[in-house]
Amino acid sequence: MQLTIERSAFLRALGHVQNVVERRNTIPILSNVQLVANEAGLSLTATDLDLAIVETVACEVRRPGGTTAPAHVLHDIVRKLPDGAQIELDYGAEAGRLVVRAARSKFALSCLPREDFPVMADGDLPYHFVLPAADLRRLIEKTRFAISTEETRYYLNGIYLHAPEDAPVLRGVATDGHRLAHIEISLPEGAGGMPGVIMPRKAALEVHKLIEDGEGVIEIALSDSKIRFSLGDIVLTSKLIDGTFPDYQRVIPSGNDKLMEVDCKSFAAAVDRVATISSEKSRAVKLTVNGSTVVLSANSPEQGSGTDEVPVNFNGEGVLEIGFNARYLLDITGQIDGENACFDLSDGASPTIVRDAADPGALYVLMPMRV
Amino acid sequence: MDQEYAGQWQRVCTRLRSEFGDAAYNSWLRPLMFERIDEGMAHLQAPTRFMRDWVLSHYGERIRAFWQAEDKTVREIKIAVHSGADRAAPGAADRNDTGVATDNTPTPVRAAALESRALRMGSALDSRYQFDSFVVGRSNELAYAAARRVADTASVNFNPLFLYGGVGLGKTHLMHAIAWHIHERDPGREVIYLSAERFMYQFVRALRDRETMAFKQVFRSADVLMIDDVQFFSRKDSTQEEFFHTFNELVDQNKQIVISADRSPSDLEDVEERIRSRLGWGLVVDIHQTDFELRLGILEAKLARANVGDFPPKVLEFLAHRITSNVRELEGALNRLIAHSHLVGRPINLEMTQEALQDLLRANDRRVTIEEIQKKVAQHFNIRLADMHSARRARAVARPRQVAMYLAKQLTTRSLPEIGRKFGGRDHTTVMHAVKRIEELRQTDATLAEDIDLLRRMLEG
Amino acid sequence: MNMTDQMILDLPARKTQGRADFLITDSNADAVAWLDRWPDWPGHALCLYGPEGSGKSHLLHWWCAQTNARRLTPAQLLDADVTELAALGAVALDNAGPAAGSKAAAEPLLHLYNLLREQGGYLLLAARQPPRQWQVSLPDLRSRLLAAPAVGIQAPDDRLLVAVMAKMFADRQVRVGPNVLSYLATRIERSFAAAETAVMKLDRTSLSGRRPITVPLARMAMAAEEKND
Repeated sequence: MQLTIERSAFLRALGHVQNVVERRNTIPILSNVQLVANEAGLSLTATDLDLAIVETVACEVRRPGGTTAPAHVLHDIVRKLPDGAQIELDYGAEAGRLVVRAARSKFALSCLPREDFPVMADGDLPYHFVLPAADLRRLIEKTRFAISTEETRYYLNGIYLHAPEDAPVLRGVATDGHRLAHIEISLPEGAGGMPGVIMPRKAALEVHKLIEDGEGVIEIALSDSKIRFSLGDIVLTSKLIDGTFPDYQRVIPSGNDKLMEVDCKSFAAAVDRVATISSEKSRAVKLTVNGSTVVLSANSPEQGSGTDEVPVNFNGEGVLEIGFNARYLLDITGQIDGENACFDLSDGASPTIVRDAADPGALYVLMPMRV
Repeated sequence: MDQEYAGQWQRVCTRLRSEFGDAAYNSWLRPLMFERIDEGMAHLQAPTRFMRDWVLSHYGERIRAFWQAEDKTVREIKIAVHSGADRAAPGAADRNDTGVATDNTPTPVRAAALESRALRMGSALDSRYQFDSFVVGRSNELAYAAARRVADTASVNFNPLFLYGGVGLGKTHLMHAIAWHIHERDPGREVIYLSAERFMYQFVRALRDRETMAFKQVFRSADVLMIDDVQFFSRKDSTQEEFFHTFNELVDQNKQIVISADRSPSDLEDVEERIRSRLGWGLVVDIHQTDFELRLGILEAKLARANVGDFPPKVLEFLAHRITSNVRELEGALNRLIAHSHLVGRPINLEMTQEALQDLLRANDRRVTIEEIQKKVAQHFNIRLADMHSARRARAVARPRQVAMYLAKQLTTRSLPEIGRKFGGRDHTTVMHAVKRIEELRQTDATLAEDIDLLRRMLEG
Repeated sequence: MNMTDQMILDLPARKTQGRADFLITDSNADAVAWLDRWPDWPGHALCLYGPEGSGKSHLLHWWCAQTNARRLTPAQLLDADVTELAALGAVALDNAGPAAGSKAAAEPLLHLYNLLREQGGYLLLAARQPPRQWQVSLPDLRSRLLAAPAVGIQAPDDRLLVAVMAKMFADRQVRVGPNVLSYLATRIERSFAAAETAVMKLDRTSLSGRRPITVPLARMAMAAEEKND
């Protein structure tokens, strides 16, 4: 393999694929990026066995071929080369080494044979549809905070993506058992009959990085075991979580009739202030809703106490007290784009619904804490 | 080649079975299915993911090792989950393959209705209930003779024939036998047999559908009308009224009526007085409780028909001796025993009978308590009950205490910490140690093993 | 005192009720064999008994799916038209012991039994105790029930207790190590119900504290349990 490639295009592609490569690997070849040059250009592949990303970059190929080289090292080298540099890659000149040359710099990187690089079989992906990248970005952004990172419950380590029967939407749901995010986007054509799938957290975060600018469209193809995202020259394929997502509808309360509406920014700021006091471990903040105000208070045996107050619209009678983990309140208020956050409350021991007054497609459920 | 691999799998199975025992083998390994071998990988299938994970983590290494011993090229075992397992029910198929005979098990003869207009209103007849399958003894000979008389002669000698007796003694059998016999001898005669509940149901439906005329017509055109279990239409006035009219009309026409109940006509408290006295006009015969000889005879007759091979006479006597309530329960027990023997593939003997029918034979399922165990063990070894809780470690008290802990673990479902608490607040590891120690000693100490068996029998009653 | 005051969403556990999902062991092999043997039963009725949580419900569910049987509670039996039920061909009754013993349900049950028998249908009765111990005062019903085959599910032995809990965790899609299972097995009562309680308790404690299920967590959950008792 011999080729010349423009530094910024190469760096961008390497930046995408090296994200997938874990810092520590028990299987050495998984630390490498696969480089294959042919008439289409240079394609870069990285995988962690659950997820694979392939990106193709235009370049001048003099001799087709391929190898695998350490991903992070290669990325760092290219990053440190001067902007605008033309980089030459040559595999074959030195036995078992990839020679990287730019101006007066020269590196020879140890390679592993391309034949040993694991290939993720695509299989048959019978469902496919195209959706605006901005939609998918929104769905991931507003659900990712609720994904469980605790591996005991592997079926909660992702976003449940499905087309429910009751509405023409594509819905993403994530929960860690303490809170739940429920985000809907309009149903793309062709997504109607798709099976409900659990997209792993890592796949969601990697895709999110690729669509951060939110432009253009992204194509999704899936089966009940794999999902593939195609975005221009980039293809990301991931295994799906092999589990059953719980019947989440059962935990979304329907009878919460005490409605509290609050200015989201000032509420979040007050929560943040008061939480300074609460103990590191529990981070509990108590809300006391009474008429037109909510009093936030926190107590810590070591540190003392603190209160703050925010005006609210509240339709309930009397006083309602409920405790929440401050971190969780901030996570949810952080998702709210509109001015106001709406809380549908029942009592201090029941799930609470939080909605974005400006976004009917977003709904969050939060379990209280005992305070 | 596939044949050869399948043979290897069979041999691997045999070795697994001897290493892990029947119970583990049947639970976990038997449901596996061999699929193929390629490139050093043996592919098996399990019915569920859970089973796959369990087998891989508990038996995977042994399966691989055994297979490698058969075939060096096999280096890895892969178990897939096969879909559609619900339909395949591997356990079931397996059991049939292993030769559980199913052809000579007693299957119910589907009640066959006679092709007769009137019988469509009636209840279906069970073809097993014939005169020649009815075993006659002292307690039922009169009822049998009366039923035969009704069936054999077209003239009416006594009307009605009223059969009564406790449940499950053969009243229904005799009524069906009458119907079958008449049908055979004189197919032209209209015989209607039905239960009282069915009579009520038909009548209520006729009322609802405004078809009472048709109803009356059917029943009043019968040559022989038999109604079973009339104690059930107590309290239903309109049905009693209708029955009374039908009854009278048939009697007037000199048609035969046969009635059964669980008590004599005069004891049918809920039936109107005038009907009660009418029911007693003809011949009233009661069927008594069975005696041992009859029960034995019934079992023998039933066995002869069921075409079951060797059946130990001791077991028959045991059943006839223990199941005295009625014929139905007696036959039920025999059926169950035969089916159980086929199911588990074990020959019928006294021990197996007691085990299979334990819920029937044992009067109550009394739970053994730890306190009882402590008391019995203390008595048996002649130590003070207080020593069960004491801290004394002398062998003379420590060993019986360990025996009691062992029995508490075996005979109750209590947890180890719970047992420990009942033995003077001992730790659960002490109980665990005692259980293990006694299990070991049982193997080497015959006297102790005998003591334990004796205590267990006493406690389990 | 719980390790955390965070309450958890009551996410329903997955239910697996197919035949293949049933764990067949020594204690229930006879029961499974009898149901597998259907319709080759010596009579048209079968009584299935076993302690709470021993899987009767699972077996009934499976049998009903297999036979298209209608599954009833005693209350539903009282409300139903027995003749219509019998026309269905196969019926399964939960809690049959109390039903047979109740004044109101005994007669409908007897008639259902008789009608199914006449029409070549099948009746599966499930209860915690064997029929001999049901308080049946209607003699006709009692003798029929005692004549029907009865098959029991026994209390689990220690080894089965471990497997049962492994299965319960697997149903909840929760990963646990074998050391946790053996830790629990030596500390709980040898019954299906105790296994279910322990698994549920541990699952909830883990979810609430966002901690993997380990022996220390199990120790804590069990200690909390004892204090509550």
